[in-house]
Amino acid sequence: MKKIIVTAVFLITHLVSAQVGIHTQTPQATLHIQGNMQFTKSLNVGGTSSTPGNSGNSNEVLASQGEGKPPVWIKLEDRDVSKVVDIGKQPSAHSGNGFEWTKIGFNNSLINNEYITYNSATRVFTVNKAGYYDISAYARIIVTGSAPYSGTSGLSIREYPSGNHIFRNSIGNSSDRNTIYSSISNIVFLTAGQQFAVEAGHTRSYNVSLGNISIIYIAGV
Amino acid sequence: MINKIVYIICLIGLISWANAQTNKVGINTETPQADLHTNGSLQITKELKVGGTSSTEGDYGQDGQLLVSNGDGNAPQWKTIDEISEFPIVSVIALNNTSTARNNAGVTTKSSFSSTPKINNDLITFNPATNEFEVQKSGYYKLSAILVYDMSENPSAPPSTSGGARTTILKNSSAVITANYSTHGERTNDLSHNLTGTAYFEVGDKISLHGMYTQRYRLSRANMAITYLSE
Repeated sequence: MKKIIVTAVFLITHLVSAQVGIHTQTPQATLHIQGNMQFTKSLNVGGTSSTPGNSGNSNEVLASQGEGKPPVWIKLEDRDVSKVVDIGKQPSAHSGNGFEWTKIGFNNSLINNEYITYNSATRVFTVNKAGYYDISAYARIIVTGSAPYSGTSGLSIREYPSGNHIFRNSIGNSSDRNTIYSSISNIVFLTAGQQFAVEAGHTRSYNVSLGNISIIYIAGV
Repeated sequence: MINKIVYIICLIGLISWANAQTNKVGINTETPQADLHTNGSLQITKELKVGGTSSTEGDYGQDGQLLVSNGDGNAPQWKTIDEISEFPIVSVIALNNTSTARNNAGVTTKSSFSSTPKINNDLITFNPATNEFEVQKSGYYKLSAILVYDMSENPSAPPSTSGGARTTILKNSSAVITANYSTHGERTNDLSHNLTGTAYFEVGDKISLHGMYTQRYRLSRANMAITYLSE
């Protein structure tokens, strides 16, 4: 009887220390399931024989680390996968005087405050996470009053409060033409805390309307 | 007979050992930290099913879906990339390197596209007969285009090429999503417009690129990129 128990204990030890196969007699991994697998709770990866692995946080995806290492849960944004952080539309027209810039106000259908916040009272965006951003904006500028309308319009991503143009588009219009369509698109590095506004202007009095914007976070520092 | 007894005792031993560890099973570990703790590698040759219950099947996902965590204590989920977060998805990259027939002054022309090297038909389809893109999934899309004009066939004497170029991206042939209008003097043999805009589209909405010059012109080159941004 004693002999049998010893054998049993030996067998258990043997069972739990070798490779285990399910539906296979030639397991190719510590646990090899020749078939499918189901689990109803967390998938913990990493850890050791006596410490728990990581179950990941919401919306993290499982990424391989190659041979001999456990996979890891990652945020795709941290691996330079682009992410939409703002979509905005100008709800109503603004007017501006000649040679003056006007900040365009947006209703944002999407804004990710982890990256960027927007103050609708001041019409200023504040960057919360440093990185490269792809900013695209469009607006229609109409010179008010009567002809001649000739002059130069601008649409600018303008740093606040310095007024420096991060990037902008200038379009000249002839004396008989009062409507200017302007769009700008560029990838720029923005630091945390940096502020900017989308601004339109013309060398004559004008209205700006139909503005839209999208901001995509491209990559980190 | 002895072998059978040994086997049964082994089995009892395994189960009671597992019970002693609060029902946790360890492979290569005597201190399992999960219901099944494999202290080593894992190989699966078929589906990885997540969720379900003790008597219902879990989800094995669809082709191209990624395994996404739901935090501690919850089963992960298979999701498409746009379900995970606001990741932009390339919907269309369309190119045209074929010059159109010569157009008369002031006539608006719809740009054609000779190839669509990238097109995600779940989001947007392209009809080469009408040169229109049709939205298949509603949401916000970013549109970017280049349109190149060739005015070299105008007479050399003034006013020759002087005039204005207007490029528009239209929704359902009427609503302007984004546009570019520029004015030019004589001796302008060619010009290029870049434009971009963002708007919401419903299923069935048509998107098209249009050009016009106030003198004779051809549209000599075009491209259009459409990116899905969000629901």
